[in-house]
Amino acid sequence: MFPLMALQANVLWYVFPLAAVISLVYSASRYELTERILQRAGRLFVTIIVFMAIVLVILLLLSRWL
Amino acid sequence: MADPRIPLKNQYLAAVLAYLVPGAGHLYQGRLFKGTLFLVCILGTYLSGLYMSQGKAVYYRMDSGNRNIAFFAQAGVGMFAIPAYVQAQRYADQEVDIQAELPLSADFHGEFNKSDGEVQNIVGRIELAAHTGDFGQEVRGKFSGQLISADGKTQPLELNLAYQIDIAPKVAPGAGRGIKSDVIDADGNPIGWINGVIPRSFADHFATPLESGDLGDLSGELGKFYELAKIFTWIAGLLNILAVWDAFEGPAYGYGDEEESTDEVKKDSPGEAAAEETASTQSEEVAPPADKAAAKEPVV
Repeated sequence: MFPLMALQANVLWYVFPLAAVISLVYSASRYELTERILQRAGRLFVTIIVFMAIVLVILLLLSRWL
Repeated sequence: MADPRIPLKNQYLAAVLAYLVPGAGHLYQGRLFKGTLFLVCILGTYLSGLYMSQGKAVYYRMDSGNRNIAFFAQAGVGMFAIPAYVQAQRYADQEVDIQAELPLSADFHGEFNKSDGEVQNIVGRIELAAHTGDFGQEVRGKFSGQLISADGKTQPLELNLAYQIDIAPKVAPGAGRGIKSDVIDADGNPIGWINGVIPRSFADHFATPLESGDLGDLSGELGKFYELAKIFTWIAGLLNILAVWDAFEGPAYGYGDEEESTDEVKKDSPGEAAAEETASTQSEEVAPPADKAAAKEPVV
């Protein structure tokens, strides 16, 4: 169905550790309190993943229909 | 102005340490959680990128045609950026002159190409030294090792090396350094040549500039993982800029135990904020403030 997607699938998994690292480091540079850092990092991680998932779905649909 | 509860100590030293090794500035300041977090996250990401690219994702090269602009993102981590810059200078300044490295003794593995066209694998050690011949100073040497036949059997082999001896630059990418030499018999007649590699030390190959041919080979070998490795090092380098600033000036938004601002709440959930506002207006109409109610009461 999406042969290109199947080829790239293993690379896409790297987005999770990258998003986690970006969330943690960015939040740690905003606050000092551990709890607040982890709480903010969790929210930012979910935001990044959801945003990228939406972009992925849009691109997949475009590649299917166009 | 940083929160007084955050021990910045010597903030300039902390910033330098944080630049050199991610998290080191925070550990120096005694901010253990953040120091460990930066060390694990940033250094881990950078090292993952280096591992994926076989150590070739980070290098400094600014000559036209081979310019590596991405280095400016990778340069956020000093412990890799500074060696890359030094290696670029060493790479540019070196002269490939085997005479300067003599006597040379190193492990070797490669092929023995006989004049009759037969090619056999050989492994052993080569020793090269300066020799004064009929035409002045020249390089001669010896290979001592094993000849490995196609069926895996080995037999001792000794070869005399002379005449044309070519060697790859000392400072260059790759853990193997190419070497090629003519082989002569006892009478000095050419009987073939050997072609293989000797080890190149880590200090001579780490973070050295890549030629366009090296880049092509690397992309062919690693494919998309070379691009991914570079992205890892870029992101880690850029994230360390945030860590350096945090070590110098403290966190950007505050300590973290402050109440979230009203504006922030409104941004997070505008519907709830509007509802709260309406409710407060209604409650004011139903029950006036205590001071207003008290003012209406007659004074006896």
